[in-house]
Amino acid sequence: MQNTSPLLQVEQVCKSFGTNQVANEVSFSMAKGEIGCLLGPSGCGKTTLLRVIAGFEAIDKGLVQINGKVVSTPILNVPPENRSIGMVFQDYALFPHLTALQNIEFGIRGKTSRLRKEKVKTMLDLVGMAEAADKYPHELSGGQQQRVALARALAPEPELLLLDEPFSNLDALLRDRLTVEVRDILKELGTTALMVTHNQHEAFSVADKIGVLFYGTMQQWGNAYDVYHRPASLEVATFVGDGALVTGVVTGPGQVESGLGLLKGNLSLPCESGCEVDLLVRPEDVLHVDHAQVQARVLHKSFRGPNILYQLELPSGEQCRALVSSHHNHTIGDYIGIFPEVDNLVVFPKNLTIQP
Amino acid sequence: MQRYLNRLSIRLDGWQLSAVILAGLVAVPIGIIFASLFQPEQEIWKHLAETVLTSLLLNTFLLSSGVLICTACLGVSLGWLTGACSFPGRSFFSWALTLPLAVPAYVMAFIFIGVMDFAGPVQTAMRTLPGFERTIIEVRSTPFVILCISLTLYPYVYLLSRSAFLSQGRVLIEAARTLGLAPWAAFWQVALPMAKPWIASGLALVLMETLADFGAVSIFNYDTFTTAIYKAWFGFFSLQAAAQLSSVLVIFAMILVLVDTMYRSRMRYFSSARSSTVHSRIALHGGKAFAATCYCSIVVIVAFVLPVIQLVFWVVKAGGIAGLPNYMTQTGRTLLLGAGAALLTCSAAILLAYVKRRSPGTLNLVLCKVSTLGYALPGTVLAVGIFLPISWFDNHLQTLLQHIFNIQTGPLLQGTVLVMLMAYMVRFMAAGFGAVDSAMQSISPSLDEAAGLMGVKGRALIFTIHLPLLRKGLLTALILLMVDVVKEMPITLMTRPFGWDTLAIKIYELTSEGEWERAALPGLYLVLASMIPVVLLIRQSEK
Repeated sequence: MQNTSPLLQVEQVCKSFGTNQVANEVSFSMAKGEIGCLLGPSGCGKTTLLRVIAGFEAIDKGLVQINGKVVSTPILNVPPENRSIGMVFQDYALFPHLTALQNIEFGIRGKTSRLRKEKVKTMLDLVGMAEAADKYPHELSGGQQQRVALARALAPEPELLLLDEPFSNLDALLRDRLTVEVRDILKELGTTALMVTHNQHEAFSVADKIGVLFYGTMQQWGNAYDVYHRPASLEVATFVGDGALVTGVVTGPGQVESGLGLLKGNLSLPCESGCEVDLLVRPEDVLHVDHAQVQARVLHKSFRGPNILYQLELPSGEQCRALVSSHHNHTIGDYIGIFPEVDNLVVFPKNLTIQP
Repeated sequence: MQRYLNRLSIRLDGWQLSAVILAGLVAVPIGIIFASLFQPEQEIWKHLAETVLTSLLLNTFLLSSGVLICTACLGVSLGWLTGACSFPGRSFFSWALTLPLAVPAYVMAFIFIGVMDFAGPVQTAMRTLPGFERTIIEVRSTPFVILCISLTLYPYVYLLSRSAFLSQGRVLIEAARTLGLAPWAAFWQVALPMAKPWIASGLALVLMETLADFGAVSIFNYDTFTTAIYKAWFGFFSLQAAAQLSSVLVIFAMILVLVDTMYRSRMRYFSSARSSTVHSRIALHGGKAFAATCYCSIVVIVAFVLPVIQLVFWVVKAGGIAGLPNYMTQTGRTLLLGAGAALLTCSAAILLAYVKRRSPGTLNLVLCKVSTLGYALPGTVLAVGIFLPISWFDNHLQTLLQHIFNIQTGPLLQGTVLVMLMAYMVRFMAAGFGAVDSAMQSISPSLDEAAGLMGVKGRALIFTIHLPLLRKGLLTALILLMVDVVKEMPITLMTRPFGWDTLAIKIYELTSEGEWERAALPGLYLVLASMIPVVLLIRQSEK
């Protein structure tokens, strides 16, 4: 795969609406067959970026290439219909005057009627909607509309599929099931897809590559493991997962002294001794050991079935969270012993505040 | 019995009874006209077939299809331009294009004839041009009737198709583009098919108005069913022939009601799921933008500005307002009739809406539907349908009174204002009920329940809770109804007490004598009165 050119290449794309910069030098690329995901809080510019790739918005600076073809530059904007893309919209945008079958058929009008029929049947079977072929969108449930929308976008065999918050209108249970299903379908077809979401669980369960966007800037582009365990910036570290930041001082190679005690592991940044840092502490890294040295006070608790997420106050006055088996049921105000077990010490130089 | 009634969710009391009677009042005229269809009078039909039927059918067909095509082209194109595109003056035109609604078709008709006739200024000027000295344009012909009526009716299609294009939002068009359609193709394959329910519903209204039109076609001397019904009754004194002719129109009208209902029920599935969708317009530039502005300007000028200028010109030429009879009596009567009919209709609408709100069972929904059928009936047909039972009632009452008390009374109801008011109510109930019902639906049902717990029910509930909350909606309904009645021509003409002239009647009389200039002042009054609902409509849509 090393020598093949990427299927989607976004290079230093800038885009602003008036004075509002929604994309600032954004670059990333995706290989054929990869599923990518743009993750970020609402208003971070991820949907705009998707619309730029779709061709609905022109760019101010930079370059977008799909399958080696330049489609967007500041002076060129290939219209969406000529980009060989498919798109699944947030509210599905199914044509209300056409049946499920006709919606799927819509994008393959040019083919002969036999090919069309075959394709529609394949797509209906693929998304498991053969039964509902002749129903109108308003007769379908949210999940069914979602499947039809996916089938419609995939039918013309686009080189790149774009999904704009595709699961946000579904209830939690259905969302979990559909994310897995959609990933399976995309992998089965080998489709390259780019999805936009503000929900990290969706991103983790669907994507090969995740891009975290903040204020129009791409903070990190990498796989789920890296984004979670090796966050490239303070923003990524706090946005992804339930982590807390605790102040610490580097006391030697691979050693940080903090409110949780002395921690030893691999430092994510080369820091000199005496350097003040913010240390990322994930709830699953904080173990509960009754007679541990550090005793923390329970501020809140939320019961999650197999475990309980405790919000704790450290002796230093700072807060962190601990994920503890739900057999250890403590009441608010109790002091519990905690012991940090961190292999990779994710640290950021102190006084690096999050940009407003 | 009570259990059966409970299942239908009906409470037998005064309210329910009144609703049934009200629906009956509307159903009787329709029923009677309908019945006459099943008792065809061979002689009359034979006579009609030999004389006028073919030309009536042909004229009606030509007129309807012509008006449908014209209003569809004008309405949809203008609706799309102002609803989905952006060009200089768009926000101005989006309301200015509704102004022609304020020009009643018959006022437009006499302006058309006055200006375009052989002796009118247009043709006189044309004859001074070399090569046109002997050219004669026959203005009393099918194309001109079609043009005249289309210019006053296109706003129905325009308003509905505009709101269709507005409600679509941009997402579906974008979806079509990701599926390989260029913008124009997306319009034809997505935007237009999705607007179909709105367009069809607008065209159904246009067709109803065209079939019902009496004033404009009589000014053009263009024979259609409405003028034939009038002539059969007042020219040949054959109420039976009038009833037979009316039955044909009733069938058309009922088909249109069905079409309209069917498409309206589909609308809600066809509008965009996300109402908050940002609407991005197709920006027109250069020549295209200029053409769009020109096109909209021409329509506004021809359909509204020029007619109004012409009316003012005639009024001034005839000596100004001071130099003309001031039509005080007629204006007074017109307003009185309008106010009376509006109040009556509104009260009836409140009653119906309340009964429906109290127990929204099948029976009450049917009663409401029946009570509002009158909007589809042409005024001439309704007049016949009302007159037949009234005269039957009068005759029997008369005989009875003579029999028992031996007194000669003469007709008691015929030719009274009461009959007129009833006819107006039947005709305009849909407008009143629609306004009242939608306003009432915005009052939470739990308010009724809260009041009920404190012992406030029935009339007290309506007066202490509903009416105060409905005040604004009711005022709108009253004004709309009043203007409708003020403009109405055939019912007034056919059921008024002898010599009871209104502004519309004055226009009918003056124009049938070709007195365009003298008809201008009452015409101007009517246009001004009709501006009120149009302005209300515009203000509502801007909110």
